[in-house]
Amino acid sequence: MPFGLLYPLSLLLVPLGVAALVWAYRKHGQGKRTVVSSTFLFEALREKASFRKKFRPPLRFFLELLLLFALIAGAAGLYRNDSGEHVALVLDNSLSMSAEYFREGMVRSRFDRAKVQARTLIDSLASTTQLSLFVVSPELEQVGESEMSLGEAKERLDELSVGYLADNLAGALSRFAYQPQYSRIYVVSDKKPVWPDEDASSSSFSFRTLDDTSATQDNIALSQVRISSGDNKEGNLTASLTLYGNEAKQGTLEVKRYVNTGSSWQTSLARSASFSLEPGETKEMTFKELSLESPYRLELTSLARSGGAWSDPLARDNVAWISHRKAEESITVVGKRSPAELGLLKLSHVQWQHLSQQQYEEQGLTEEGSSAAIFDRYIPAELPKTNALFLLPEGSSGPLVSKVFVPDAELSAWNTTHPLLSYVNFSALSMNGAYVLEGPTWMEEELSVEEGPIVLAGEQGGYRYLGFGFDLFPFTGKRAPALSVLALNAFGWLAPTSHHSLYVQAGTTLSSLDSTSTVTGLDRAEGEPTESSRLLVPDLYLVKEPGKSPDFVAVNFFDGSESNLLESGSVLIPPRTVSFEPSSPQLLSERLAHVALVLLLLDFFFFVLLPLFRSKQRRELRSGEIGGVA
Amino acid sequence: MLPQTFTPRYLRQLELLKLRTQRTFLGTRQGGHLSLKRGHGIEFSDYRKYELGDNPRHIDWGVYGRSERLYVKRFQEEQDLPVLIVLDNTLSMHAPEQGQKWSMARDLCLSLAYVALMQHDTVRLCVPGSFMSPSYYGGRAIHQLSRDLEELSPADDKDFLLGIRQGLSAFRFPGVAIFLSDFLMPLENVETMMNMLRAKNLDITALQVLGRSDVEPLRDTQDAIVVDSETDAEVELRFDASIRDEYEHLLHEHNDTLRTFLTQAGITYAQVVADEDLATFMLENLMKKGLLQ
Repeated sequence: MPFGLLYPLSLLLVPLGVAALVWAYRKHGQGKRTVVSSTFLFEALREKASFRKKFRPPLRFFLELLLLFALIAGAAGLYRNDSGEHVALVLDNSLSMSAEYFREGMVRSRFDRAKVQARTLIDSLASTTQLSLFVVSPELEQVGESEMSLGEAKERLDELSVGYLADNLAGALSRFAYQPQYSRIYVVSDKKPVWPDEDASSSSFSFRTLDDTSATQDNIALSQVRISSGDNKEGNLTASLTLYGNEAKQGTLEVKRYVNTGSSWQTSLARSASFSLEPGETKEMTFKELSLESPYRLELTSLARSGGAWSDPLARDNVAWISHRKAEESITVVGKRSPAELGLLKLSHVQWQHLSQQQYEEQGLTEEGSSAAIFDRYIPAELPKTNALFLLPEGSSGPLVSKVFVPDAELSAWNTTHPLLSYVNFSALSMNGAYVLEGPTWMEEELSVEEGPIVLAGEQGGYRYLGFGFDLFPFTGKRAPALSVLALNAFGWLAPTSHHSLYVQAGTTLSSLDSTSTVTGLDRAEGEPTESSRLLVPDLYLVKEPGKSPDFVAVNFFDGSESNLLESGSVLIPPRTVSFEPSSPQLLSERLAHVALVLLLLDFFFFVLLPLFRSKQRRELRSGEIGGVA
Repeated sequence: MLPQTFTPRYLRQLELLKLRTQRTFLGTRQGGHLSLKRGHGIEFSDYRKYELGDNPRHIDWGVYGRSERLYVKRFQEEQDLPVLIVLDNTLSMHAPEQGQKWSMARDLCLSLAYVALMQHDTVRLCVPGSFMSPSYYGGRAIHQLSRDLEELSPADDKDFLLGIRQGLSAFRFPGVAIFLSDFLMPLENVETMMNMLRAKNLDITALQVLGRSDVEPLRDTQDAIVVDSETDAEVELRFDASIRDEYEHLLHEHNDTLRTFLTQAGITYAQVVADEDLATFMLENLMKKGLLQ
């Protein structure tokens, strides 16, 4: 509907107004008794000018009726959505949407299906509808102009491509909950909606789920890679493989080494091994005594891509990269416990420094280039000028404090999109109680219990800060896998600029690079754009900085929720806290006011001025006869 | 007591005026108008053969010298002019302008009567349905006439024709008749009245006195129930601009028809609206119309 009313109840004024107008005309037509000399001339006018026969409104009545309608329509907030209804179309372009499947002899991806759904949806909209197009990976991003015609939106759809990362669909939708300009928000995703109430039809959100849980969506993914027991020259490369499916699968994992041929970097096969996976199984495959001088590419091969009995629908999680370099930077531990007591020496690629609380207060972080600091059971008066992890911060003052101790801490909420919590098995997380933290407003809750947050994370002044309300250490590796993964994720997030990590999570920004540095993805097809400092696409990147030797940064994206195509997860649809407001309802009110003014002027001109003028003219014409000498 | 409009200056102006007639009439006494009666006078009329008993002083000796026949000169006598003023005193003359219309008619009546009386004419006032005056002579009689008019109350229009008939029967000599009315009546009624006067061989002048509300009725009212002042007949009207124009057209047409009839009947016609200046109308308009000189 191109028209609408802001205050429909004002329409009640229509019958009242019309009744009042009719009453006024009838009342006006009651007539005043006036004695005249003789009525014999008036008798001739009786037929023409009688008012008691039947209510026959004059033209002026209709003019004033129009005027009344214009005024009431204005009061009712009549609007014509000049730009049509404003609709938001949100497309999930996360990694899982690149999953391919065969249908009618053609290979299509979920994203292709999403586009088809989007086109069907656009075709069903009124032609005056204005559409805003959004994608949600890695973050909510508007595509094209804020108000597009349907044709433009379709053209933009063709330009969209699926991303390599997870989506932030829930976060994106929660932002729409506060935006009143959209009358409806259409979401096309492979996730299932969870409606806040039973009546989904009353919500402004319309969700189209691309549901496909068939066997063809069984997917094997590389879920983790690491190098262990390394001595800077040789080490053991371990890869975790997970089968998200219903049937056992087999395949081969190849490890390829990057070799510099002078002009370019080529890969040569270093190792390979076959594997067999049961449904839901995660298997670790270790390749021992690999030289750590070169970066490696891990690739699942021998997975039927087409025409076979089984094909892996998601190719992007079949590849991973890893690069092991000598650590040149260090992490400083501030507190009573030493890095050895914290079990951190197991992480050999990091140089660990130790400062006591007193030393820190006296000299600060002396180590140049320290990429991060761990404040163990201690909180400094001011936030340090480096990335920092605060473990069980003690004291009642400071930027971060521990408040209530919860002995039997049971997790109640967590931010699944934060890299800190990637691959953390929450059910295996054993905390032995936790403190509820209270931090600055820019720190977001990442992990919470009923009583409040126990993990906070945030960025301020170009540095990253993490607060833990429970003890992460000692780092025991497999003996406490959930805590260890959490610790590794924490180090990964706190030191993302370190080129010397084994790999970084996709989406990481290389903030230390200047404008003269170049970042080139080695596994890019020719013609693809050079990556910016934000590494959104998993790849092995060659980073060249002036005055330094070229370095490698391996970028991977491991996310079980994206790789598991059979259970793509769910999205909680937020209740909309604002009601739809048309974009410019006043516009028509102004026009109505103009119409009313014109009608008023017409009324005045035709029914007041013109009769006066004509009567005056006639009187002048007859003045020589009436009362004069005839 | 004369109305306030009769200032000394206005009265002096009226004294200079004289009723003019299209014909000559026999008077009853010596006056200022040439009469049909031959005899003593200033204005030569004709010759007649001398007869025994004629006054020898009237013999034209010049004619006798040329023709040796005795002729006597005859002169038109100047006698008074019988003037009958018929004044419409029905309710229509009193409504609706708070007497303004009646005042104008009354003042016109007094003014014309004063002109006649100052010329030694005989004036009789006929107010159909309510009053028939005796003959007034001499200028002083204007006060009596004024008093008689003051005592009048609006008459019933039922006796209007009868009143005219009675007035005419008392008016024995032909002369001048001045009819003062709004003539807002069907033309047939006007014709009837005028024919009665014409039958009396009178030199008739019809003065139509209209009120401003007769010309521009219901100026501040759009819808009205107009009530006839005489018959109480009601007409419900939506008096909008078009109907107002229609009314003006009807009035114009009515007046045109009235004028045509009166002109064809040899009756002088003049029209005055009650809010006009009396002196201007008397001294200018009626002189132009030929009623006064």
